[in-house]
Amino acid sequence: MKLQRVRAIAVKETRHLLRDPGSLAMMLLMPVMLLFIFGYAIRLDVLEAPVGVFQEAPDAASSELAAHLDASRAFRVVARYDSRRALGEALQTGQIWAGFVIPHDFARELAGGSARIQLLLDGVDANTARLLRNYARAMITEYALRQGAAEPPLVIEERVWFNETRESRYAILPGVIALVMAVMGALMTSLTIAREMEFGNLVMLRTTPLSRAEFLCGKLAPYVVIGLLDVLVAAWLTTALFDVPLRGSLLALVGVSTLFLLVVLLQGALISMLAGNQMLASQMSMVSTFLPSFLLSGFVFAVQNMPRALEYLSYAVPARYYVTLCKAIFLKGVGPLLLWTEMAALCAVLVVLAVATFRRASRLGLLP
Amino acid sequence: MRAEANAGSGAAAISARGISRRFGQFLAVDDVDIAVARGEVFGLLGANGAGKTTTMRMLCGTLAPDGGSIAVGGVDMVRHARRARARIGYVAQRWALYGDLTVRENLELQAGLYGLGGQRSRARCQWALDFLGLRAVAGANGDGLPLGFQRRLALGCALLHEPDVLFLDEPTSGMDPLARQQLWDLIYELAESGIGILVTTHYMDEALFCDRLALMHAGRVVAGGEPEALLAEPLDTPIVELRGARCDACREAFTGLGFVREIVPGAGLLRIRLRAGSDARAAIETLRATAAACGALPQSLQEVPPTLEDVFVARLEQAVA
Repeated sequence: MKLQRVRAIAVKETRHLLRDPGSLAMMLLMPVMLLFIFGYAIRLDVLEAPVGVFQEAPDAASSELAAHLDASRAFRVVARYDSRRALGEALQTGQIWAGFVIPHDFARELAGGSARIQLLLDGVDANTARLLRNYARAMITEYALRQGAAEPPLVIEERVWFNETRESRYAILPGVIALVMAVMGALMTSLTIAREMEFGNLVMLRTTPLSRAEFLCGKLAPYVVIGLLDVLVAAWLTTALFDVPLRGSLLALVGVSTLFLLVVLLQGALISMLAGNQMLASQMSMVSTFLPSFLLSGFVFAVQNMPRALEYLSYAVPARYYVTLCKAIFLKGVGPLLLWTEMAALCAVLVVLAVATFRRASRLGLLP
Repeated sequence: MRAEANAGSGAAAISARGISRRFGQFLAVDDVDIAVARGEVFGLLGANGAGKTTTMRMLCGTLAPDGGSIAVGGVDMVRHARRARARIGYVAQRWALYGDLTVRENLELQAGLYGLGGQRSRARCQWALDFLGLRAVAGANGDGLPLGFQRRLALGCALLHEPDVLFLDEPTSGMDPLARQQLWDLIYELAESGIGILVTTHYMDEALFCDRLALMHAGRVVAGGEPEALLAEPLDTPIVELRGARCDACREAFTGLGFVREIVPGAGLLRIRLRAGSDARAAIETLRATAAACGALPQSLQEVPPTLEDVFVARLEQAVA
């Protein structure tokens, strides 16, 4: 391994990048774009959900309850209906996500100590329906207590650690960084070797004393730099724009990200050689990184809740370990040493990919 | 002559013995010997599929031979590939450099690949720009260059590390006559500096520019040696040339004659190859009579010395038979 040759390839690769501002811009802006899209689009908590109210008897007590619901962050009372039927139609057309029916004897029953109201939920989006039900329960309990109801005999004093206000973006954004890096990393390098194969440059490289290790190192080096730049920008946006706290050290994040970057860059390089042309390589890298990283990394969907077979499959998805590490560093503030199993798994994937890439590279015809 | 002048300076540029290569059932190269001295221009000829590209690839180390030995500049190409590759320069037939890099950047890359350090890299790149007349286009991108400049850049890239051997794969294909001549002048200049040069070509006139030749057919060398010696060897298929009007009529009349092997028409002439063992003198009499019978009076009708192509055709026929 001679540094001069590695540097020659790395310089050349950097020049390709600088000559192609379109690709370079994509590599630097796509992470930002994805972060915005996912950061704003994926919301697992519900804010100001549109709900409707049907008061069978529009008296003071039921109006006060309706006002209480409207005042919360969870609900916004968009309409009051004068029949059950009208409320039902509004649910059907999607104008409201939930409807409250307050019976005509509500005030009397409340005074008597055991009132009931009805909640109708749009169950098409099951997750939202479940959230709305929980919100409604909590608010009704709070309202009852305020009306002077007795405390139940057993109460849970809950505290949510690491994400006190239960903001879903806290949980999602560190995962988005992982998703973005997985997709970008593989995509960047998937094009680079296929390009040399397509344009016939290998014909010349083969006759030089360049070895495959020198070739691979030189090829990947510029992308490590770009990838780390992407990580830093993404981390900065996550903390500055989305207010997600970075409780661990930046150094730990950079260290873990470098490890993960090497994994996905090698994955891209391997795909590049397997595909042999840029078109196929970019498609293969998108499919092989985006889908597994999105579905099987625990980024949004908890892997533990999946069928056993999928759970086992997820062990082969490197993003799974990076997602766990990212979330831990951002929210829990723990270092990578505490999560040594994930680190070890990433290292193992790295070794396997490095060996596979290296072996496949023997077909390029360069010196071993 | 150049070969003799420089033969003393160390090991032969290329020394390949008994190399073979098989692709599945197809024997692409079969027991070929090639020796190129320093300062010598060696031409490798043959039709497509004759095995010259496979031979070239084995000689420059990008394809492992199934058998035989290859040494360049005295270094074993199979066992010490890295050292051997540091001694060769290779110019591919097609553009294999980087079109989005400038001429200078391509040279710098190549210098780096050959492990040249900063000072030496700069000096050699300057040398290449000057020697190949590329200074004016040093800042231009590779893919915008005319073909002749691209070839010269590729040549420059292959010479940065001062190799012992230079491989040129069809170096002049697609070039205009002036650019071809300029490239051959460069080739001679390089050979004079002591580099052994192996050229593949299928232009017969270029074959004459080489110090020594090898003609390949079906994976074997069927003819070889200095072009002058090849031309001097008597051919058993004499060539008779007819010049004059009404060539077409004569050609039709001659076709039936038993001793005529092949008739190649030219501008105002016919080249008639006779069958092996024919008596040229008797044949000319018969041809003259036949021509007269169809009303043609040839300006001249005589036996002519064979060209290199005639020699090769004859050798190929022998090889096939």
